Amino acid sequence: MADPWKLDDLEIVGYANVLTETMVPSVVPPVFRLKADRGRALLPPYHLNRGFVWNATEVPDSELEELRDSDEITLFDGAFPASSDFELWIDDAFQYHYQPEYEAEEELGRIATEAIQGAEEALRRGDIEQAEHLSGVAICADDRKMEPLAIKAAICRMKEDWAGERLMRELAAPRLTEGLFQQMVSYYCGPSRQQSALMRGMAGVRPLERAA
Amino acid sequence: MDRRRCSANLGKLCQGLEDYAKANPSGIPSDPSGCAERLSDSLYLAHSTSDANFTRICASGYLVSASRRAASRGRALPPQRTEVLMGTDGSVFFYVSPFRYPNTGSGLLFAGSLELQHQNDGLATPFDSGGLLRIFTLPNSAESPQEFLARHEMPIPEHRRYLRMSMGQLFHKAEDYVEGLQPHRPGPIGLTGGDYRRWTHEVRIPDRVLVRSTHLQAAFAPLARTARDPEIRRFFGWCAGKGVDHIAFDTPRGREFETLQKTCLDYVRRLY
Repeated sequence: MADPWKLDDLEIVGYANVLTETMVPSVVPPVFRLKADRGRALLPPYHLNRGFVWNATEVPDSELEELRDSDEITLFDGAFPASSDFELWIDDAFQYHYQPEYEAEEELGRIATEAIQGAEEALRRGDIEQAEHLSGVAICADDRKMEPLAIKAAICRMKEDWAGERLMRELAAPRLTEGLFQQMVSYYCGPSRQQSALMRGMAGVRPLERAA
Repeated sequence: MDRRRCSANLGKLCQGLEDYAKANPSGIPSDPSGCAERLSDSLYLAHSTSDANFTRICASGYLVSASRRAASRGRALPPQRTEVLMGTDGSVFFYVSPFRYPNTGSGLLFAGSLELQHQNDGLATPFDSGGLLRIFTLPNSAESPQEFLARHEMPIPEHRRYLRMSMGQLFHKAEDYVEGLQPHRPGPIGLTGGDYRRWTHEVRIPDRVLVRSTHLQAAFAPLARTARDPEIRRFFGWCAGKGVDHIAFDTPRGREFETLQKTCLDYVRRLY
């Protein structure tokens, strides 16, 4: 196995993805460059562990532009130092954030929660477009949350897009029983106090084990 | 494509592998379970791409070559680009394996029947052609990567004969090829360096490949993208209607490629 690279010796010049407006916010894998030799860059896939980058693919800096032109990576205008246990993520205005993992997780969780609340309010107002957009933001920020899928399924049901509703049900299936998901969708289609109580009870629902 | 030249290459490569196996006995029986034969016949063609490209593929319904994509944007490919230098910029690329192209987040698997449809214009090599330029080390530095590539181009689907032989002769178990484990013998081709793409079969089909076809076996995309992107949603809906497997996966903390690879490998393992 090749020697790992120390994160302290690296800077970040971009990330290994190209995002569009339906993909943000999103955690992204950094593209690194050696501080001491800016002609050498490191690409994922790699493993980050205890301040080191393992098994990265080293490419000459000149190849980064080729990868950018092939829509494989995004390059920043400048570079900034890499840090141990930090996460790189891109917000919905395409601004990058590089912060400790726990802070990034908190921030993305907050964005997801606020987007769900916004989507619920938009649904109540009958602003389907905004509800669709915000539920998308929520699921990008945290794809473990089930509410955005239920909101999207509810919108599909309102539009009589049965294939779309079925797909959302499929996506939720590994984490939530069909019955519970249907109740969430019904709630978003026409909430009542009883259903509100049910939703509060389901807030801590745990993922189901995937079928073998 | 010169099919006669490719057939001649295939004959030489198979003979070379037989000679290599005789000269370098491993002591391990070659494919006692018959798994190499089954797997080499049934392995899917894998094409993975960035999420942004996947959206475009879902919308257009085609996988397209780099040159066609550049032309559609009204610009030429940079002359230093790997595919341009290798003369492969007019091709759509597949691996005969699970997804192995790094930094990709979504992908498609096609049945081997796609090769039959393109037996007159497609071809295969027993390695990733792009790797010849910067990633692998060639056995003879006097030979150009382009010449080396031309010597190893084989017809499709007949290249699977060489795949079966190499799975049986070079790997401890045929499944190791699929799992991405190194062969226990390097084989006669002589490439060194790089990763598993050094011995993964690549299939090239000219210009473009229709996605919504009977050859499509499975589609893979991150759950968040599938739920949010209307083009991917429509495409997955089409898959559901046609009985094509469509798999949306969670991507913990942005590790899309690793999750895509693992999800695809789990799917392909159903073949053995």
